[in-house]
Amino acid sequence: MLSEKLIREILQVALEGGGDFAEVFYEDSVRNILTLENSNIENVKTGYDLGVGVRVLSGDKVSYAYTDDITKESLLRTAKVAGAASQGSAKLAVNDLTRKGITLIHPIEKKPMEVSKGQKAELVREANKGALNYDNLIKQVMVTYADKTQKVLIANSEGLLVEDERVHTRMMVTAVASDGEQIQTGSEGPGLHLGFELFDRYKAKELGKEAARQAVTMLKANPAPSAKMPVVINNGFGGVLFHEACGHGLEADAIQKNSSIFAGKVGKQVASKVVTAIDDGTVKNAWGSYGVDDEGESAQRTVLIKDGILQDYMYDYKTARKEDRISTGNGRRDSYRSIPIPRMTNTFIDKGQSNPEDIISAVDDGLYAKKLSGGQVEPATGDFVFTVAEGYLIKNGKIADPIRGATLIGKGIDVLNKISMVGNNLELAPGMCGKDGQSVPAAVGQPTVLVDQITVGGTERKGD
Amino acid sequence: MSGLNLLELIDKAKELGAQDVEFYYQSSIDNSIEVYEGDVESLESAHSKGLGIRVFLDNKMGFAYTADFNEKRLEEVIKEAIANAQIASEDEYRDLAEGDYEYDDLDIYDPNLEESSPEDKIDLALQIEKVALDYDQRIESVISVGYGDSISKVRIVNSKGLDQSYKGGIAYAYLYVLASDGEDKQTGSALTYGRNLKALTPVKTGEEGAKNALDLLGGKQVKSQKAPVVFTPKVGAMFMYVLAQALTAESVQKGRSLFAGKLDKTVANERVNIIDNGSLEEGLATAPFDGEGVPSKKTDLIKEGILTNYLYDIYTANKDGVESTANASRGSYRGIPSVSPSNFYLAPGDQEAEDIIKGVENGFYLHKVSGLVTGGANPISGDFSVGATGQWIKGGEIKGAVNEVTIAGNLIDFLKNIEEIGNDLKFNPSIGSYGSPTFKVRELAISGA
Repeated sequence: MLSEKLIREILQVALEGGGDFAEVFYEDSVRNILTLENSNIENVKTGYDLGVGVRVLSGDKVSYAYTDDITKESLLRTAKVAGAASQGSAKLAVNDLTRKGITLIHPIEKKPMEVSKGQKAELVREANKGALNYDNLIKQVMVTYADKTQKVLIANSEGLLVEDERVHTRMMVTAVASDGEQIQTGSEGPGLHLGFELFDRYKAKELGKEAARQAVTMLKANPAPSAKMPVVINNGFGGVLFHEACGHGLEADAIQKNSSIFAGKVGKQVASKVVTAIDDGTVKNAWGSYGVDDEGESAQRTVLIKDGILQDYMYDYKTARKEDRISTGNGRRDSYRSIPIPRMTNTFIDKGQSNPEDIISAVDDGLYAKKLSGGQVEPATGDFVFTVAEGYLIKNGKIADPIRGATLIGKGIDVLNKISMVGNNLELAPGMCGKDGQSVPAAVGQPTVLVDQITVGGTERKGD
Repeated sequence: MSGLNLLELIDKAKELGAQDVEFYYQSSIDNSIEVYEGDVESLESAHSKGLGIRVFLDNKMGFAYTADFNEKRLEEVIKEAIANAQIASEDEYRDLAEGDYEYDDLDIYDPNLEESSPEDKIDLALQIEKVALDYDQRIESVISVGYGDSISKVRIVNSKGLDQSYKGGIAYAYLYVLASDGEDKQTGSALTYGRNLKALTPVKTGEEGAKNALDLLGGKQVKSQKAPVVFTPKVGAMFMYVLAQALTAESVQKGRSLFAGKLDKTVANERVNIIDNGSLEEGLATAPFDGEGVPSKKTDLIKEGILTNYLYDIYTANKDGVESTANASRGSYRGIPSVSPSNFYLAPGDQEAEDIIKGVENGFYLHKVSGLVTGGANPISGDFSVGATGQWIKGGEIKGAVNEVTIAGNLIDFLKNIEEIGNDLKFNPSIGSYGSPTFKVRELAISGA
């Protein structure tokens, strides 16, 4: 770890070019990954990342340099490189550093570093077994176990000094089912800002079983039709649609560049009245939570949309400073190799009034998207395409036959305005969120929702 | 090399219990610049290095990496790699490259790049932004525009006597623009790259980014129908990405490929030649050897419509009893090598792209697809369904833009129906090093209104 004296020296050197803000980000991370395929443990990996990034702001300009050589000489050289692009003339003094205490809101009981490799291997085998034993149609199972322990120290020229430790543990199971003609996959992948006690909450064998159930169900599904129809999106990972198609447009950098449909709309109706959306980095032990963000700001809860009306955006230090306000604690980076930018933490549509069963009953003829997989969005326009991993037709208010190969196509803001029912069963689900080449853990979430109309693209070929 | 003696470390690893060991050392200098509205928005620069360690023990493999070369840490990392090998499953096909091979001398490093000034790099990015903004009034903003370069050194040393290194450099610049006609908004992007600053084409690229967005403004849905589809090189390259994943021996051996069991069979139109070439000097993924030290080469995967080979690394080649095609890729020192394409492309034909369009009576000119690389194509069944944007062709002429439709089909039918191929091969480096010329597919299902 770096001494306070050295940190001040780095900050001072960084400001010598005339910058108006300097920051040091130190990271010491260890990660472990195990992968199993065809019942063999194929890859076992341990990675050590240690490095320091120095950021200097000079007006709107950011300059950043990093090094993985943490000798004093290299750190001061890095600070000089970061500071060289500044254009100001005033030489700012670095404030005295005051250590910021953080309240431990995400307790970790079983540190992954203290769990034996053998135990992790056992868990991966259990999940494999759970999936294989589910049905003879399961031909292949892939399991990944991953943990990461990241220690960070953040200090800046305004006098902030803070440390945080983030622990993430996750398991992902993918099962492949085949009847000789068709092949379908199912997957399950819980993850939390938590240690090995994740597996007290989720049993590896059950995860395998659930992935297998999805794969087998989809194997028996018919090709999806293509049409515009009402779509019920299930709780949990269904929130990925909001995250991708709306959440990114609520990040302050997109707003300030006017590359978001939500720019200039605070106080205006942007969604149907039943929609309240929140970003909350303080949810206990949730996948996207932390004590402080990667700029040292405490995690917080930000209401983005309330009863359909846009309330606020997500800010990091730089975008907040530009509007003369304070950050919402959304400054994140994927490692010391990257600059912090506004990012989501745990972002979700808040729970509503309806029972999930009543939502299904309200639909005569539509689609139930029980599980979504990946999607793609044009951030500037909100145009999206999502793949439905597990879907069913809804007929006369009842869930009917499973369908496969459905995609949902549309624009984020249209969907927000067409949500007519919101369930009372809010749930979060983990994902890795990519932006500007940086990947960070972010949770998505929602209760079950009804969208009155979405274009469904299917693989059913009419007129063949 | 930063005080690291890799040959001594091999002895150290053996002392600690490794039977065989491989070190992959990488150091790089990276710069990137982003500009916005005529000013520099951000500057990043980095000197980094790291070491990936693979340990082999009783046919089991373990991996660990570190950027910290402190002596104590290095010992700890070697021990971790050994402990990781101990819990891995035994597999007789795990092996290292057997000593040194013969290597091509490739021209992938230009010292001019290291000497270019930051001012020239900034000017280049500013020029791209200006060209795009000036191109047409309907260009609302340049959302992002940037320049980047990377110079990296790689050295692989293993306990079977291999010791090789190379140095390479690449510069690139890109833009992402937003066009608006008052009602509709569309985005466009373009990218240029080369071994030095002079190889970049700021004017052409700025115009191309702008044009890509403008072409799609005011898009309307078309009726659901079956129609011929002309692919731009950009979208063609994305389909090459999907095909490449299915053509790796790993996918085939694990039963995750539509090409499993189809070797020597016709899988495409006889005009189709699909090639992987790691020693293509103008390619982005070019190096004298792959991530395991095997010399890069050209591999025909589909030749005149017939499936002739798969992409192999040492492990998958051992499994099939063939030679590695030098397709072990690691991403960086942090990655375990796995099979992955190098420069992968559909070979050009002899037609002008314009003539292909002229020959279409009623069809779709496909500019953009979404969802393809994120689950829209099933690599096993070959079924795909993706969101599509482009223009409609009527009587050989390009008419209005088309939006919010999906195209669906099967990859094998798609390959068999490629009936005209242009001479304009172009790589699309946004998702790797995949290339394609303009080509026409006889018929695909388009679903719209």
